[in-house]
Amino acid sequence: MILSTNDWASLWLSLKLAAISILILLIIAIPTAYWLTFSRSRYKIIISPVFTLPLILPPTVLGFYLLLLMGPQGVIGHLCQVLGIEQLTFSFSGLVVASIIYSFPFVVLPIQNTFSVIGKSSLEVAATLGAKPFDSIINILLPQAKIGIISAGVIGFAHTIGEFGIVLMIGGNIPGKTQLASVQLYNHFEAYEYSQANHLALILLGLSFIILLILYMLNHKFSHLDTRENALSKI
Amino acid sequence: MLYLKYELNKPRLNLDLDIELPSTGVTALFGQSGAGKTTILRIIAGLEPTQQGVLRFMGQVWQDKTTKIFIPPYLRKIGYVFQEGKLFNHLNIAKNLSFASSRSKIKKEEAEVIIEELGLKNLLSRMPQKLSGGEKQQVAFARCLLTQPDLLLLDEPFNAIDVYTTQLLIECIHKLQLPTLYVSHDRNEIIKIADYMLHIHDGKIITHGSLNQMLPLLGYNGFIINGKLISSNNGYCCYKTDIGSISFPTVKTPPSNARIYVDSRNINLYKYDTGKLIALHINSIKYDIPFYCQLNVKLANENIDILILKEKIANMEVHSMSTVFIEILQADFIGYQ
Amino acid sequence: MILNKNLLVLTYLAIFFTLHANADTINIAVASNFSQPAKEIANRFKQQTGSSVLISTGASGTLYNQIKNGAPYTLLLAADETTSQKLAEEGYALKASQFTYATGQLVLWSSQKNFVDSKGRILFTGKFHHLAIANPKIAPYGLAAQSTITKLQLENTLKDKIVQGDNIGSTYQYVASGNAELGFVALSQVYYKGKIVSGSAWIVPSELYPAIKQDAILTVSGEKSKTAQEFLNFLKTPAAKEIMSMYGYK
Repeated sequence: MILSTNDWASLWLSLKLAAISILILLIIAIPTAYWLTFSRSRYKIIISPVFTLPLILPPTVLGFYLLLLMGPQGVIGHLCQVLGIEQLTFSFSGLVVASIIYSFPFVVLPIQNTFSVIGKSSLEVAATLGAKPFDSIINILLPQAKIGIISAGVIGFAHTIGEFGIVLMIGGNIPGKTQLASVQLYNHFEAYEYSQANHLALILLGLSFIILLILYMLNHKFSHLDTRENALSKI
Repeated sequence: MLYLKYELNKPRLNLDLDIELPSTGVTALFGQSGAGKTTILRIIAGLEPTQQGVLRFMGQVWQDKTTKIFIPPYLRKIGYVFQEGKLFNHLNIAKNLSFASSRSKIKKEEAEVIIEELGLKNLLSRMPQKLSGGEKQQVAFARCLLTQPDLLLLDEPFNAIDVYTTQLLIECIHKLQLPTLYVSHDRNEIIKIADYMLHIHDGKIITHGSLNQMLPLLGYNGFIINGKLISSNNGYCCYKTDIGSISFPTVKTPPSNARIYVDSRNINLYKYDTGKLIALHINSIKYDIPFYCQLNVKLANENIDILILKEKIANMEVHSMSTVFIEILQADFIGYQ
Repeated sequence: MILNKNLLVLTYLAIFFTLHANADTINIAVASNFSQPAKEIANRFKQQTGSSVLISTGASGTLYNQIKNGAPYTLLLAADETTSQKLAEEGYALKASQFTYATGQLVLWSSQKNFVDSKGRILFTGKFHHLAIANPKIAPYGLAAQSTITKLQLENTLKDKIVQGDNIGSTYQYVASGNAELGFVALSQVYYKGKIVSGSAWIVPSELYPAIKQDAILTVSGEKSKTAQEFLNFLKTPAAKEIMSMYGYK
C-alpha cells in the first residue's frame, strides 16, 4: 500500500464523521419522522418540503449557503460568536453540522415510510391498554420499526462517507480535521498522483460495498424473524 | 351509565348521535356495515381525532367540546377488543399480556385467573403469527381484561372465529358483569349476549330498546328469558324464570343457567289458568295484519310485542287489559351454559 | 418602382452574412483566476472579428483532464506553465504554440478594510484565526503563497491557521465571506483599473515567490481552427495587454 499517513488519517476522519453524524441524526430524525407521520398539524404541508430540500439541492449550493451562514456575517456565525463556540467553517464540528443537514432527508424519509407502513393501529391498541404516548412509541412503535431505522442509519452513514461538494466548500482541506477521504482523493487526482488516488478509491469502494452488504444482510435476517420462534420464545 | 351527544361530518359518514345507555348488561349496537358502529366505539374510546359533543361515563366527563375537556384514551378505563384482535406482532403472548397487566393495578393472582379461565396457559410462549384466529381473539380479550376496565367495547369480536371460542368468550362476558357495548351485524350473536340494543343506520340511532323489545327487528317473534334449572327428568326440564316456572322438552343436557328463547309459534293461549300456566297481561291488541294479531304484553317488567295466529285466540274473548295464560310447548337454549 | 418588402429582407440578410463570412464560434478553457479579463478580451475580440468565444473556467488540473478526455476546447489559458507543457508532451496540444500570455501577481487580501497593512505585517502579528491559501499541490497561486510563507520564515507560526481552498476561486470565497480573515489570492481577483476594489491588501513582492507564468497553448482540435489561432495572437496585442493590466496582470 502506498498510502500516506494523510491518506489513512482522511479515511479515519471520514468514518468518524459518518459515525458521529449518523448518531446525532438518528436522534433528531426519529421524532421528526414521528411528527411527519402521525401529526395532523396543518404546518406539515409547508415544513415537509423544507426537510426534503437537501435531497434535491446540489451540494455546491448547500455548501455555498453554509459558507455564508457560518461566516462572521451569517446567522449561524453570529450564533456561534454569541455562544462562544469556535467558528464552524474549517472545523470538524462544522462538517458534522453540514453532514446532518445534507443527510437529513436520507435518514428521515425511510423512517417516515416505515412508520406509516406500521400505521397507528398498534399505537391505538396500546393507548386503550393504558399506555401513554411516549410509552407506546418506545415499546410498540420503535421495536417494529427496527429494520427501517437501522437501514436509514446505514444509508445515512454511506451518504456521509460520500460527501464531497460541501466539504470542499466549507472544509478548508485541513489534514486531521477536515481533510476527508473524498477530498483527499480529489487532491491526489488534481495533483496528478494517480496511483495514490487509485488506492484510496479502491478502499472507499470496498468500504461502500461492505456497507451495502451489511444493509442487505440486515434486511434478509429480519425478514426471516418470524420463523425463528425458538430464539425469541421467552416468557 | 353512558351519555353521548355527538355530531361528526366525515366524507362517508355523518354522525348525529344522542345516546344514553343503561348501567348494566350488554348493549348491542346493531346495523349494516358503514352505518357508523365502529366509529361510535372509537369515539367512546377516545380514538377519533376531532373532539365534538359531549361524552359522559358513570358521571365522569370524558369529553366536552364547550369546556374543551378531552380525556385521552389511555386515561379512560376501557377495554377495547378490536376486530381481528390486533395483537402486538413483535411480542410473544406472555409479553402481549404483561403489556396490559404491568400498566394496570391488577394483582398477580387475579391476572392468573383470567389467563386460566380463557385457556391461555399453553399459548404463553408462542408468537401471535402462530395462533389461530380464535386463539388470537382469546388473547386479545384477556389482554384488555387485564387492565381492569370499567367499560368493555367489543367490535365484532366473533367475526371469523370458531364456535367453541365464541361460546367461551360469551360465557366470559356474562360472568364479568361489566357494562359492555357490543357492535355487531349478526343477529344470532346479538340474541346470545345482548340485554339492550340500539339500531343504527346512516349515522343515526333509528330505534332502541331492551332485547325483547327489539326482537321483531331482528326477525324473531317471541321472547327471551333467563332461567335457573329446577329439575330435569324424562326428557323434560323445568326452569325458574322471572315470569314463573316453565317446563319444556329437551334433548340436550339442560344447563343450570340458561338463556331461553320462546317462539310465539310454540305458545298456546288459554283463557283460564290450569294451575301450571303462566299469566300474561295484554296491554293492547291489533288486528290489522293478515293471519296474525299483534299483542302488546307485559312480560316480567317490560312491554313487548308478539304476533299470535288469529286462530289461536279465535274463540277466546281476548281484549286489551285482560289476562291470558300461556303454555310453552317448546323452547330453545341460546347463549351460554 | 414598388419597394418589395421581401427583397429588402433578402438584401439585408445577404449583407449580414457577408460581413460575418468568417464568423466562427470557438470553445476555450480558461483558468479560474483569469476568467474576468478573459471575458473582456473575448468581447473585444468579437467586436473586431465577429467571432464568438465560449469560455469554460476551472482549475488548470481539471481542464487538463477534460482536454485529455476529449473536451472540445480549442485552446487553454492555464494558470501555470506545467499544465500546458504536460498537454504538449502527451500529444494533446501543439508545443510550438505555447507562450506566456500573462504573469500573475500574488496578493495578501482581507475583505475588511484596514486589516492588511501595505507591508503585510499582519502576518507576523498572527492576530487572526484563519489564513486562506489555494492548495499548493494543485494551484500555482497556492504554491506561490506557500513559497512566500516559507521565505518569510513563518511556516511554523502560521501552520495551524492555514486553510486550503481547492482552487483560487474558493480561496477567494473563504476570504470574501469572512470565514478566513485574510488570504493569499490572485491580484486580478481584487484589483481593477489600478486600485484594490474593496477590503485591504498587500501586494506581495515578486522576489518572495516563483513567477506565476500563465501559459497559453493551442490544443489538437484547435489546430484546425483559424479563429483559435487568431485569438491566441490577439492575446499578444496591446489591446489585450491593456485589459490584462487593468486586472493586475503583467
